[in-house]
Amino acid sequence: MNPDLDLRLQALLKALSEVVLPAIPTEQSLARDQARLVIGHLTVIAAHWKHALNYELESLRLACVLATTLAALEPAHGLGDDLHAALAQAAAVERSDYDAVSAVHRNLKASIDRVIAAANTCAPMSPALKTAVLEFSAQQARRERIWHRDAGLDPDADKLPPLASLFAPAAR
Amino acid sequence: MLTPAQSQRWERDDIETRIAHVLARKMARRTSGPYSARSDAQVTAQLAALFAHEGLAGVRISELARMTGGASKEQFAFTLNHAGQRGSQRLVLRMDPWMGIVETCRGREAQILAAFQGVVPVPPLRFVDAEGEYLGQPGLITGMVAGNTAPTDSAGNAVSGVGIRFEHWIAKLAPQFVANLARIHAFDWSRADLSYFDPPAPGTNHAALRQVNWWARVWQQDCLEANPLVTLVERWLREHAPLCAQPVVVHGDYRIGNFMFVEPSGEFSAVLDWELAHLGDFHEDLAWSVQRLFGTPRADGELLVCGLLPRTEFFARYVEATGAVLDLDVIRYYEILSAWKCVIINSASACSAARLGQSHQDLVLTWLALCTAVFSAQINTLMGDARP
Repeated sequence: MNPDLDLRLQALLKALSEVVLPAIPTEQSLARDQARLVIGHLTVIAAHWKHALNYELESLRLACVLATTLAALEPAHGLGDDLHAALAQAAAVERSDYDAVSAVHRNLKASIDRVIAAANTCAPMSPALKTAVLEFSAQQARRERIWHRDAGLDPDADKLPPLASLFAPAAR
Repeated sequence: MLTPAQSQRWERDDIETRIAHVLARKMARRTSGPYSARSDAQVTAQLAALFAHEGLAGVRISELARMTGGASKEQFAFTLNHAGQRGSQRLVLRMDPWMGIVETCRGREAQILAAFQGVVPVPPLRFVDAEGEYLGQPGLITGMVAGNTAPTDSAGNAVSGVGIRFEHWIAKLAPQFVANLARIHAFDWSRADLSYFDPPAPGTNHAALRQVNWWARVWQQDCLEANPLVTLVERWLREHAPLCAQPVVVHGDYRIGNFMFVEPSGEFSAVLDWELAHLGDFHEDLAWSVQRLFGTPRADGELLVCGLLPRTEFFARYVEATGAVLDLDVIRYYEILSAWKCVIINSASACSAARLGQSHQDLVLTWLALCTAVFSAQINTLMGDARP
């Protein structure tokens, strides 16, 4: 049998927790802290790796919704064309390729950013733009908090649903 | 007050001279390649170079030990003996890696520590190398202070102080937490040597805009991935920058994990981490302290500011101690600014430093980046309540 990723991660965590960490002298505080953080990161990675592509695809979908809304506001400085081009790239991306999805997602968000920045002019921000970005951000922040819930850094972690809820049919 | 015409562009380059210098210095170091944690031998040699420059003779450096706790600086405890002193001193070296979660100035930190001796408990300043001429990197040395940032009987391992539970220590610590903040804001900075600081103009929105410009510059330098919320908030902060009648010393990171106390008395032995200190609006420190990530929930579910007291009580005790009139709209403005800064620090600077391998603890930086969305969610809540 080829040991799968879950098994290898499980073995790593056991070795670090039961052998490596206890062997580090107490006075080596940086080494002990970092060993504990390695265990923390690996635990999170073990929960994430199977879902990483789906998480990125949903993030891209939400960014597309925001970009479409902003494009309808007819942004100045020719930035609408930039948005439409980024949206077209997103529509054409190979959806099974994590790196490709991630790249078009970053590109789309950069185009969105340029629209929001409005060429650094002092013109007041439109309420419609503010509402659209905040709606997007509220959804994305909640998803990110659920995604990282088990890292234990969120003071309201106990009020968040489990990670699996992000990929339940109703959430997509 | 700045009231630009709509067709004008925002003045983004109005940043304190020293801050602009350290941010430019950070960018220049980026070509230096990955950074590795210093060895004991390197640190000892660099300390010896500094002490030679300071004119100390017969120097002996011993009991060097790396310290943990912060998220940006390399810190070491050591014992110094030299011919000009009877006995030994236990000291703390605090120095910059090539990049950290925040880029700040050891010269400013040294000036603030010197200014606040006797005002609030601070570590005694001994030496500073603001440009890193002798230490290799900028650094400062203080006396060792007794005490801990968390109770010795508490459970868990807090990263950068987040999540500490004070339990039965609260009654002793909460009044001091407020009283020291009041003393910091009452300090007459005009009589102190704060030559590394550029004061904002009183009675204008300069104090707020300077902060926006500082952190917008950091975002521009460190951003690895665009974030629509960060860009939106930057615009909003510029449009809504409040007036500051009289600038005070703002600690800049007044929170859980940044003060020490001794047991069993519970007496504060030091207010730490002054690296983000600047001259600005007192509301800013209050807003920073009340951020959700720095709070810990009480048994009944109420979030305690920095694990010590409820928000309304924190504000009421501050007003009682200072006589200040709080403007809740200005508090909210600075809450948004604080959370925005934290998104920049955690998602951009931390990840950028880790990606370039320019810190001694890339692992801590990438761990702290996981809490970015807590601040984003907080911004969303606050922006929903704020003026259009």
